[in-house]
Amino acid sequence: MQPITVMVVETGQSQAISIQDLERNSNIRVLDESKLNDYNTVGSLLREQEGTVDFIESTLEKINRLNPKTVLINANQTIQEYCDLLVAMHYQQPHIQAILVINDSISEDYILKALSCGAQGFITNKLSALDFIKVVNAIDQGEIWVSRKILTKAMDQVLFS
Amino acid sequence: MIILSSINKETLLCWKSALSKTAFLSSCNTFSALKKNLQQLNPQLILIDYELPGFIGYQSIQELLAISKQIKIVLFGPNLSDETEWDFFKAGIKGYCSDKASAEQINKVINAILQGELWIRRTLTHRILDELIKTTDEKKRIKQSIQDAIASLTHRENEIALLVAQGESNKNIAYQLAITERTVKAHLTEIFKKMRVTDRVKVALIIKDVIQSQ
Repeated sequence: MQPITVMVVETGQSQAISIQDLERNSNIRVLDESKLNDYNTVGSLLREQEGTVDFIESTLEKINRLNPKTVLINANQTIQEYCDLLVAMHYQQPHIQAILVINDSISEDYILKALSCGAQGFITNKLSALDFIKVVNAIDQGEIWVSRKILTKAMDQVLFS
Repeated sequence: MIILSSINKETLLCWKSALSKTAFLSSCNTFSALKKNLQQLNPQLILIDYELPGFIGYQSIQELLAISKQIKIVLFGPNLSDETEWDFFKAGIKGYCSDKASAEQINKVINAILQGELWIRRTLTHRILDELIKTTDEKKRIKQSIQDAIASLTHRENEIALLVAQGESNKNIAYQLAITERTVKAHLTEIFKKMRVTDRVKVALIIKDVIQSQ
């Protein structure tokens, strides 16, 4: 069985995703530049430049280098950048699945906006590692992961906009 | 109030058993009777059997929604292809359920739908997001083309378009801008051409929409 390769996009420290937990007893492999010797230099250089280089460009570069099947986007801030990144991913790398990791304070409208930009699902940062694995697998099978409530709102937007 | 519409007695019995705690139930056995009941009873929900006499698919769903926009429709039928089932959702149903579902399952479906949720197969859910992305892209494209059209207006055309949006007549616009009515008409012709519309009402609606969104 082919492993599901996952890349994590994070900008804040307040909502770190536990990468080790994701890999434990699962077919998920988290792609991390520090694990790839060839990219050590580039990786550390990018980390030094974070905040100064354009977030979307640098993230897309990382995605191109690591070529993950799934990207977990830690969307703990309601900023336009995440939506722009999703749109860019949707057009440049349509085969890559994007999952938003959100906290409870994010509004439904923002989630809908993110879904309309190409995210395949969203999960809260309080989810257990086991559930994380379940969601990543379901999305890898072509499903989407959203609540029925959000799904209904999305359908209303499709029908009545 | 919930209307149960089926010609099959067993189906009706199963639905009634699933909804035994619901006080207001009405049933009918043809599509035309269903339409009449919908107009008279103003129900929250309709259960429709795919085999209901007179029911002809998407068109029938749209007919019911034309009578009552708020009505929630659940269709019960055989296993349909993803494409057909999805088209029913696009027509406006809130749920699709197998005609072999148990009373317990039906109860669950109806409760979810009454709470404002959709009852849709997991394998169809990605279609909602695909459509959402398409709709959003289309909206962005329309917004951009409107912005481009407005940006292409000259200063004078812009002034006139704004006055049209305020509901001013050609005569008043001519007076306010100290130009002739004929000149106003000439500018309007150019505005219509640039904005790809045929009348002043559409210009007014577009300009008002742009102003509100700013």
